This record gives sequence, structure tokens and C-alpha cells, in this order.
Amino acid sequence: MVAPRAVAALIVTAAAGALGLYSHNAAAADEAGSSSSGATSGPYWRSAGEGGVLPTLARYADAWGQIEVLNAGGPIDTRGNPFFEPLGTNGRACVTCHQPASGMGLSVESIRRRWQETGGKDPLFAAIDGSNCPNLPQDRASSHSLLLERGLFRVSLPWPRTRAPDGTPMEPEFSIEVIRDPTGCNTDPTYGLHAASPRISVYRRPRVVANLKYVALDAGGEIFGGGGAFNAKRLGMVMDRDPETGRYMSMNIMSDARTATLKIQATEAAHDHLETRSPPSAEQLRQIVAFESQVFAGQGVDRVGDDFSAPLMPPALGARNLQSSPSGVLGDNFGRPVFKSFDAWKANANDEKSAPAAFRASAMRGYDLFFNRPFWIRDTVHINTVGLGNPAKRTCVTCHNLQMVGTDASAGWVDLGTTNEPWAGEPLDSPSSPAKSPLPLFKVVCKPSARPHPFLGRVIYTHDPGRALISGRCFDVGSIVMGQLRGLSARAPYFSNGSAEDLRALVDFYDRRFNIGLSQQERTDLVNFMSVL
Amino acid sequence: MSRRFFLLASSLMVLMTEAASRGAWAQSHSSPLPAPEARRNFLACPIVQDTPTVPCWLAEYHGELYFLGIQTDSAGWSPPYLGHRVLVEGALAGGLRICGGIPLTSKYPASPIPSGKANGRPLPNPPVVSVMRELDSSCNELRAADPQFQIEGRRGPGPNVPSAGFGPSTAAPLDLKPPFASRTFTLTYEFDSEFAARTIGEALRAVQYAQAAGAKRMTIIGYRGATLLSDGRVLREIEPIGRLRAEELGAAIRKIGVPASTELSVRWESEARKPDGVTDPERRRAEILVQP
Repeated sequence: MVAPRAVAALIVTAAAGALGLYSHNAAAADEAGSSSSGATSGPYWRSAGEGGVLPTLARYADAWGQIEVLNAGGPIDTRGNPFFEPLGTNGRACVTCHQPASGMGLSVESIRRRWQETGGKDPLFAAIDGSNCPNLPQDRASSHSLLLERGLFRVSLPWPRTRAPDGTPMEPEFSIEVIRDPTGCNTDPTYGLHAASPRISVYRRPRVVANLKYVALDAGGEIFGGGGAFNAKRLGMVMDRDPETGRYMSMNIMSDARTATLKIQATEAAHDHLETRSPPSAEQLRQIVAFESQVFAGQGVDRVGDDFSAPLMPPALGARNLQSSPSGVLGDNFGRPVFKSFDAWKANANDEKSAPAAFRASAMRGYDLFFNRPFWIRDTVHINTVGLGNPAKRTCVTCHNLQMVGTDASAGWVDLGTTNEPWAGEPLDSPSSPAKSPLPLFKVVCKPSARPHPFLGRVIYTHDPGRALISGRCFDVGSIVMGQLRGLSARAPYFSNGSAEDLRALVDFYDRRFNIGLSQQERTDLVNFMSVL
Repeated sequence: MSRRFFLLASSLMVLMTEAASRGAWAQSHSSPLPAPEARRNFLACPIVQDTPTVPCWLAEYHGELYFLGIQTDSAGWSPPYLGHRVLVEGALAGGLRICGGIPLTSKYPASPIPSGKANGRPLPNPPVVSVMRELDSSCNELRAADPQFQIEGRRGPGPNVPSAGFGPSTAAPLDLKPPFASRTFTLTYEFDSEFAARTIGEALRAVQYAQAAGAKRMTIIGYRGATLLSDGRVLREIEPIGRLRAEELGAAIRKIGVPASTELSVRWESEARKPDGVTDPERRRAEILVQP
């Protein structure tokens, strides 16, 4: 395998310039050496175990400019660092799915490029979860179609679940029937729901391993002044704890909140994704968590060349501001806005007719829409059900409220509708329609004594039951922990199931879901705003 | 606006609530309203009445429109859901109509911070509302914003003011000094709900008390309630609700951490006691009995 270190990151997707405003050339990114910001440019891909140094600040071209990755602890010698070394049997390391050039996530563009360059031999495409199902012929691209088309990895979970993550016995409130199984894995006699050790396969995007001081929060110390034991959402739910410290955690790390701490996540990921034969050592876990806790990622340069480390730039932008800002700040208010102020760009708008000034003005309008424009938020579990009523007239920041990253300050699983019908937007099976969803479809039936899903009732059709696969509750079917909004430009597609291929598709989903009525200009403004985060 | 505003508003709220009970809210230009002590317990579809600011929640009963409350935030009153019927348990608050509805109230404070004002006057404490468990697609009325309804919510439809998020705890400080006596902690619930959304803090207090007292026993008892409706019918909670409440609360207490020396037991009552139409919300409950 040849590590393409000499190839600079020039991942310019068709999305760049798709709005037709500018002809910015993302290839203008540094190819070698340092820029005026002190950043060095980096490769689009880091292979497990290849060694080398990850610099303090590195930039990588992305669809909207350059993403930057900051190691707050200084340069990282990746040789021997367990985040970068293959720990298991399939040749992968943590970095395989959390690439610096993708803002410590993984863009589908880089996945496709890796397939082309390695003929599908990279450990990224390991049968266990880098293919639609391990029982498929692994040399065919079609067996990895969900990864190649949507950036989705197979997540295999025991079902029916008999114990909660803390070991407490539990009995799910619902049954699951497979309605459609395009990957074959959920009906497979070895891997499926009727196997000797039954499991369910759902397909999800990798989460971002950066800016984690905002995500892996101690709920007792940093949220709402130490809210502590209970979810701020109104179900009276007790938060999961860090088993080592006993502290209550914010439960925002995973899409289904199944691991309370980074250490537990690393241990599980080593088994599930790296196929280790034994758990990582205590020292390896310490090093992994130490690396993850000091790495920050955000857009560093926008599509018109603004360098966010320069003077007169908005104070929330860029990786260094992510490093220096306090965590646990509720940003749904005028006093401490979620992405602080963009007013610096107003003062910097010398030539309002120039393309850069027009772009900045558009991004500022987008932020204003995000922060201030009310719309009817409706039928959204863990938003409308937390004391707001259904519907609630609110803005984006009601849910995306944690300052600097735009996650939810409380345990952030929400049924936005991305995985549940009727909102999921996946093609429905119809004899008259040639379109077929590549995702499985499950029929969830709630038991009579269970509290049903508040807005879908007792029978739910879903592509991923989400949090409900861990909690066992009908109430939670389709709820997914929202992801952070930083570094978006480097890691399309979006949503846990990769159903929004770019930022425009993401905005369009919200407009359809909540009937917001955004104009074309407003959609462009929101896209430009999100591209600079 | 500042936190001081809300403290002031909170004080005003208390004064106005007292004034309301004496009928001081009656205005010369308003139509006469029934006596404040009159009860209104009914099941209905909620109605959203939009305003230039936050929406109002209304419900219709026997041809009359009642005002329940306004959209606030997750620290305040919990409004109903479209798509579900709502059980309303309240009394006439007196005073002017709000958003076109006769205001209802209850003695159970929904929040330590008032919801806001209507036409410059503090809103009454809302009635008790419970979202029914099952869907009802016929409940789907959202009325367009009407500029005559001037509502000033303590939180508007946009971002919050800096310090308005969460009010102070209303729970009395827990005395954790000996001697320790047996003590009961009570959690109340919405109709047909096993989630102690507003009262779960009592579970933590019970555990803290058990730890301080070195309790030998904690006993959780879940109860099933019923409501006497204004039309004379009795609405009973689902049969297993006492068990569901007890088991849910037991799981929460185990997760918080029962002292090693404490034996935890869980039981429930499946029969609802006879409702009186006044104190029924208090009987939808679970108790935690802590015995040193």
C-alpha cells in the first residue's frame, strides 16, 4: 500500500461553487510548507501505522476552502501513538475513520478516492463494517455501496437488548420486524436478527473526533451550572455515569449515546471496528483519550480566501478559537450567542460589491436566520416533548444551543425525522417506482403497556431506530444524538445516515421537514454560513 | 431585559395571583365571568392560537373557549401537543379573556418563574394539563397570528435573554442532620404518564436522605389515579400505571445509587381511589418511603 503523502489534499467536490457565486479555486491551498497562519498543509489521507508527525496546525483543502486541525498539545509523533497505529487484526487505526483532512470525521469523497487508489484494499473497507455485510464478496464495489455512496459504516448491535449499557437488566418496549433488507445483513443467518446471537445492522456516519471538550461533557459540572443527575429534557431520566469517577455525563458522544465516556467509546470501537482480540491497554486508552481531548477542527479559510486566524475575523471561527473558548456555555441567548458575533465582518466590509464581501454578507445573513428566524418546530421528539409543546415557534438555536459547536447542551438525541418515515426522504418501495432505498426498513411495534412514540404512535417504520436500540423505549425510536456543526465543509454527507449529500440538501431537508418556506437566497445564506464553521 | 426584571415579574405574579383571587382582575369592559372557584375538568383537543410573539394554547369545552397558557421554555409550563387530546384540570382564574379564551388556573405552580404577560398583565398560573398517550389526528388546529393578542412571553420565539433560562429550585432545603425519622417523598405525574418529568428531583432528595440516615429500607409505591370530569364522568388512568410508575422510579433510584445498607422494594396499587375533581392531580403519584 502506498501512502500518498506527496499528494496534497485537493478534494474539490462538485459542491464547491455549486451556488455559482464565485469561482474560488480550492486548489489555492498550500501544498507544502507553512502559510502565514503558521499552518502546514497535509495529505488527504493518513494510513494506519504510516508514522510521521501531525503538526500543531495543519490545513487541508475542502469543498469550501480549507479545514484546519489544531493539536493544542503541540506536534504529535504518530509513530507508536495508539490513535494512529493498527491495534487489531484488520489493519485499521482510529485515524482510518477520523481523518485530519476530513476535520477528524470522514468525507465520502475521501472514501471514494481511497477505493480508487487502493482497489478497495485499504483496511477502511474491512468486511466487518466497511462493507454492507461481511457475507458479501468483498472485492466488489457493490458490496461496499453504502460506504462509497453515503459514507456509512455498519453498526451491529445486539437485539433484543437484555441489558442497558450499565449492565442493568432491561426488556425492550417494542418488537422489530425486517420489512426490507437491501444489504441482506438483517436477515442473514449469521449476522441477522434470527442468528444464534441475534443482532441488528444499522448504517451510520462516523462522528467527529475533535472539539470534544464541548461534547464529552461532565453533566454535573459544566452544563446548566451543574445540573447533574437528570436529563434537562423533561422525562426524569437519570444520566449515565463515568464508571471511574461516578460523575454524570452529557451522553452526547455517540449517535445513540451508548457510551458515556471517551474511554468506553475507544474500548468498544477497538473491538467493533478495529477487531482487536483483547481490549486496549490502560496506557493505550490514556493516549487515545489524551489525543482526542486536545485536537480541535474547524474551517480555517473560507471560499473567498478569508483566513480565520487573521485580525478582524469572527471570534468563533477557526480551530484556535475552538481551543480557547470555554465549554458548557448555553448559547441560545443574546448574551452568549451560539457562534458568538460575526460583526467583525461588518467592520471589515470595505467593498460591499466585491465577491468576498458579498460572501461574508451572505454568511452573516445565514447566521441571523439560524439564530433569529422562528418557524414551527413540530412532531420532533425530545424537542417538542421537553416542555415546549407541539408545535413550538422557535429558531434553529433552540436545539443547536451549545456555544461553539451547536450541539444540544443536554443529552442531545432527537427524532428529527431523518431515519423515521414519513420524513426520512428515502424512496418508498413501490412497484411503480424504480427508486429503491439502499437502507434497511424496519417495522417497530410498541407493546400495549408502553408509552408510544408521541408523534408516530405504536407502529413505526424506520431505517434506524437510533437511541431506542439502547434504551429499549418506543419513545426513542428514530432519535439520534445531534452532531456538532464544526468542520462541515470537510465531511459531507450529513445526518447520521448520510442522507443529505451536501449543505444545500441539509437545508432543503429542514425546509421540507418544518415547512419553513425559505427563499432561494435564504437557503444560499444558510449554506454559506454553515460552510465557514 | 434582565434577571431583575424576572424577579420583579415573579413578585408581581404573586401579588396579581392574590389579587385575582379577590376578583380584582375584573375589568369594566369585560363580560361577566363565572365565579373563580368554578372548576373546569375536561378532555379536549388543544388549539394553537398564534400571536405576533409566542403562541397561546386554548381548548374548547361545551362551546366555550378556554385559555390554558402560552409557549414558554422547557423550564416553564409544559403546553399540550397537537396530535393528542389534552386533559385539562383547572379553575376559572377570573379576569379578561386571553387570546380569546377564558383563563384557567390551578394551585399547582408550573414554574417558579411566571410565563409572561397578556396585554401588560401577568398571566395566571396555568391549569394542570396532561397530554394523552395515544395519537388523535383530529387534534390539529393552528390559528393564524392575530395582532390583537399582545403576549409578552418570558421567553419569546427567538433566542433567550441572558439569564432567563432556569429559575431557582422550589424545593425546600433537605435537612440532613440527625435525628432521622421515617420520611416520605412524593412525586406527582401527568395523567397516564410514568415519567416524573417535573418532580424527579424528589428521587435524588430521597437517596440523599437515605444516605445521610443510613436507611435500612426504601419503599417505592406507585399509584393509579382518576379524575372527576366536569360533566360527571370519571376518567381512570390505564390499569398498569401504578406498576409503571413504581418500576420507572425504582430504576431511577437504583441508577442514582441506593446505599449498600438499604433494602429497596417496589410495589404498586392498581385501583384508583374515588376522584373529587379538585385534588385528583395530587393522587397521580408515587411515594418513596425512607425508613432509617
